[in-house]
Amino acid sequence: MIVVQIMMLIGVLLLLPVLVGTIFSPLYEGGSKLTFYWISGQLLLWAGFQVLAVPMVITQNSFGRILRSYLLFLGAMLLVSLGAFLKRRSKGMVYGKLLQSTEWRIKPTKSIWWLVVAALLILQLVCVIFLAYEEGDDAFYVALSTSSLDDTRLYGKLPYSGWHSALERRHALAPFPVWISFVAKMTGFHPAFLAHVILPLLLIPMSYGVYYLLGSRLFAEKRQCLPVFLALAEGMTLFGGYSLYSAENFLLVRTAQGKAVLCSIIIPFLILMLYLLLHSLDSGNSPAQGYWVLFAVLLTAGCLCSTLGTFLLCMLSGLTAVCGVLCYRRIPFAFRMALCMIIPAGFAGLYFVLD
Amino acid sequence: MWNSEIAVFQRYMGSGLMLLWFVMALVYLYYKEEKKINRILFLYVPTLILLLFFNPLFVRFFYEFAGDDIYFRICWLLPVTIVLAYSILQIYQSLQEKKRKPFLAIVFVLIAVSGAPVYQNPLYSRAENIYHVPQTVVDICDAIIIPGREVMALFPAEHLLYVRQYTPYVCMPYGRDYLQGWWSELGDVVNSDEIDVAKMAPLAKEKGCHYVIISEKKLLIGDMSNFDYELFARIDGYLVYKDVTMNFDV
Repeated sequence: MIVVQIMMLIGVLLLLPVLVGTIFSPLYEGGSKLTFYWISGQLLLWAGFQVLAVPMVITQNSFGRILRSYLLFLGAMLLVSLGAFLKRRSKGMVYGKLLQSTEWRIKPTKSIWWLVVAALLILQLVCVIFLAYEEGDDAFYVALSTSSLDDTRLYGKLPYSGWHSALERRHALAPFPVWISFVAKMTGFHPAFLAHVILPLLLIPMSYGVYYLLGSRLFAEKRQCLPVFLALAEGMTLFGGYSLYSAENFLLVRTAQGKAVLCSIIIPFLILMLYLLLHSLDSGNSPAQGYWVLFAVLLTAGCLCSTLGTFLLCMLSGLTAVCGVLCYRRIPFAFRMALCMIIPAGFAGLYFVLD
Repeated sequence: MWNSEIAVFQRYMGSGLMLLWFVMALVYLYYKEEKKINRILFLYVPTLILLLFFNPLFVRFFYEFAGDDIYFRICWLLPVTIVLAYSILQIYQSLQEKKRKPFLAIVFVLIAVSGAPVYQNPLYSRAENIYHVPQTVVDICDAIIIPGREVMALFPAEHLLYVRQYTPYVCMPYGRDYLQGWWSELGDVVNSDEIDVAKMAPLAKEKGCHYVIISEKKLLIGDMSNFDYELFARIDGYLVYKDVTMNFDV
């Protein structure tokens, strides 16, 4: 039984996102493709969950109905990724190239820094397994994940106590805990085990994966700096306990809470996306095919993590767009960016409608 | 208003040094960074965010829209780690080869001194099981759960955070909200060092508590059986009382 559960876990949290992420293959050239597929695929799956789940939460449907709809969505995404694969193969691009990407070739002279990166990461993952943190907000989020599994009316009870309650808009519009319930249902693992152990084991590396992708771009011509960049990021995260509110502290302490995913995965990934956008503007080109789709997906995934995510992501994108327009004297990209904000704006609108 | 955003920023800064390094990194990038992309992302945008953060009009808009308790999240838009790491590596590359290793060593020491180790937080403890909830909570819940239905149980304050993380089938008269200051007469009575049974038991019955869990260290004044609560189990230093008049049918 446990073997099947672990296989399901790998399937749901690793295999599925990587396969779905291949849809965005044309978007990211060069190395580190596997990491890019994994993260962008997961973002697409989160965005899909948000779009499907929120209307059902608002209309107070059962968890079972969300589960069935989401499974259909997953099936559809797999078909789309298969179609994209066949299309690429017909053009002579095959998956075999995936494993030949540069991320697998570590220069021996610089391997000591990769060892530092690996050692610091392993330290964090070991701490995830053996240390428990008395996190007050888990009494809400993890309890919500646990109770959602059998709920006939999602968000119909106070997670703290189990008493019936009215729908609370701030949390109902960002149903990340219900996504954890989905993973629990699919794998058979307890939501508390998933939220406190399994998901941090994936989300912490995913966060550094974003830094890896960004570092690969920042130091494209000085690859020896990449592991040092990652080691510095890990060091600053490990010593991020200077404030309870820092993004670094959230990553290690509240890893499987939506707001931690927002500040440690979604926002850094948005910075990567904005870097890619500015890079294309800088070189006088348009962003790669599928860029705006992934951009919209990212913003929607941010809404799943936190209601405030809608505002934060649009604010960061907007400020960058203003700077981009002023620096490059190009305007059309800002309109496309604004179009991508339609879905998050819709969720923001719901926030006021539900008031 | 002005004081409040400064207070929020101070809370976000904590000991303050990391944010100070971040501001110094911005100054460094202002003078040294030549790539337009990096200037936009790592200098102009963070500066605009900081200006907005301290802008009274923006603060007012935000407080109106989302409340003041989450204003600190604006600071998440500051790419502190990325800007610092990038700036450090820019300085690193500008140094002669022989100075590079000592420089990085100093940088790592500065990070350690300027920050605080996350895992030194006193709220961390050794995990007692795979759920990362106290084993006592797991044992008590396993003992009182009735498959197919919910039960109401009165837990002491130290367990309130964990019960419903472990099981949705145990409800409580109050939860974490009590720890956050939500007043409950029952909570005050049951969490005092000396528990007056004559006061506590009727309140527990009024809330429909099938079970009452009390630490063995607490002094019970009165007899629980006078109120139909009989000792059901002793688990990990806690007494579990069961209301024998309640309906336990599925």
